[in-house]
Amino acid sequence: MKKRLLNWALIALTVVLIHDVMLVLGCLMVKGTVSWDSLKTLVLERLTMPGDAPRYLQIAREGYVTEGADAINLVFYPLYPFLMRIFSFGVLDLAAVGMTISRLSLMGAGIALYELIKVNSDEEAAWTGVLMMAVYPFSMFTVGVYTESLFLFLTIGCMLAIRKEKMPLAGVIGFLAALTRVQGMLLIFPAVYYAVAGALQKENRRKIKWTDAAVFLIPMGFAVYLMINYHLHGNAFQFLLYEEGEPWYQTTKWVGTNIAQQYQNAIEFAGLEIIIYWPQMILFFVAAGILLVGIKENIRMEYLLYGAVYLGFTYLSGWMISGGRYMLCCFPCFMVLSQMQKGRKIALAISAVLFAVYSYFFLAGYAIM
Amino acid sequence: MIAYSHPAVFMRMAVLVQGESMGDLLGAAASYLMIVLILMLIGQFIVQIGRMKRETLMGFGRVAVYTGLFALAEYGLMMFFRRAATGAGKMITLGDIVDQRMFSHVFSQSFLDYSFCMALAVLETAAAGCFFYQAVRAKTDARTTSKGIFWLLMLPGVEMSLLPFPGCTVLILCVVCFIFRKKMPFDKVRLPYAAKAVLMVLFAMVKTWIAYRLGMGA
Repeated sequence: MKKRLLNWALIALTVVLIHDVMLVLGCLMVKGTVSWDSLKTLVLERLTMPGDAPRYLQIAREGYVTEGADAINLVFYPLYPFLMRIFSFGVLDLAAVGMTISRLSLMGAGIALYELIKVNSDEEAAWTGVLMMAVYPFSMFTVGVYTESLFLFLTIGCMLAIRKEKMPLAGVIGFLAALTRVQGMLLIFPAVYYAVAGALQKENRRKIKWTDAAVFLIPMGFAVYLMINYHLHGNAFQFLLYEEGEPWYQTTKWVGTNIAQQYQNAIEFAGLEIIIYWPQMILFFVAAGILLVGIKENIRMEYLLYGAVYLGFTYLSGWMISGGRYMLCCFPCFMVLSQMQKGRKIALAISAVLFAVYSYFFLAGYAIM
Repeated sequence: MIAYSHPAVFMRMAVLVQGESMGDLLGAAASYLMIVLILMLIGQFIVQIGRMKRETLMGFGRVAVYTGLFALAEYGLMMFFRRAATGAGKMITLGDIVDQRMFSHVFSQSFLDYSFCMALAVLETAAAGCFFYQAVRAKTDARTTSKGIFWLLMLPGVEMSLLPFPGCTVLILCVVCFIFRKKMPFDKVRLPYAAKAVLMVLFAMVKTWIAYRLGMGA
């Protein structure tokens, strides 16, 4: 037990320290100096002000509003800003609380991923998986005012609960995940699969228990979000109308159509191609390839199924500009890479180099969103 | 491959390759990969409940990957030759050929998305390849069968997508192999992998160039 706790502490420290080291190096490169003030300025400028961060802060401060330009904040799911509001106790700085939640969640995600990989693999593979997640090229978002860390923690936690057959717990965690991001409800797929395939297989058959029904709490999280929509606007799908409009222009289109469109965007919007469009396109093929390798390596189906539906669902989004960030939460890819027979160290090294490059771009103010 | 030569499929193939940009090509590759991934996961489920051998699923997977890579290389080469010939960066497509000669009225009314259709057609090739795999596999081991499929795809004549008379060579080979269920003759070729790769690229370049010349009516 003592060794286990020590391991957990080490994981928690490692995943956060990697980002802190990158922040210090980034500060040196971007600001030309490393001091408390310059570091504080960089953190505020890059981790609390760009992209979606100000919108989460506004929701935490004022809640969802029904009129004016900020009514479109409804497209952001409520759990993360709700936690910021609660843990600020009405006095603490919301941005600081948001970043603290992100950091604690990142630690939790690292530990949960370690435990999940260790169920079927050795310690080295588990550590490799954790490091893969930590040095994912777009992982700087995990220490900012973004939902990535919390969502990772909840989804990996839910999967761990499924794997350990604690279905009521999986249902509750999945419910919270579905209140954090829309993709959270996709956890219902691996949960149902685990129960159904276990009951159908010839060897090591597992009977379906009445407690398994608790996994249907997962989509209830999304249902609560729809109810919020309905309560505020009289339309349960109001968020879709907002997503279609300015500034997101997001509609649902088939994966191939979206990839083709992203290629056109890469040509049209010179300067953004290496920051946004090419990484998004490449990540799709890399992730799909990794999941296919996962089938070859006989990785458990629940993980691969979640990875596949997450990948497909994410790339159904037309006019996507945050694909790199979204794919951070496709954690089954880290699991597959960490359990590959060959090449996992090379994959880790490549990821680390790209992490350094894209973290610099992000901290230097390039439009990584 | 047998499915590939079916007139309906052929016509759809003709529609899809009109998509002339690199974006359509990438979109098609993405669609194909997504569909293959879903099918492989369904296959894995069937394996898990004990209704199919894992080795068979892996064989199908190899066929699907080979076919996808083959199609990608083929279309890439088409673009390369077109670019070399015109400098316009425009892809030579079956649409270019067929549109002008036969079916332009049909294709202009098509509601199908190019990239999705392209993926679907390649998928049908892969599906036919899987049936072929099953047939040949009955007489030899999985690895040899996969290699046979790979060599088969590299044969001159497979780029039927460029010609209005699809894949006679492959079709005949498929039928012969299906009937006699013999080991593929290409397995006898013993060369280092690098040499095989170079040979394959040469094969692909020559046959695509020939198809290109034919397609342009030269």
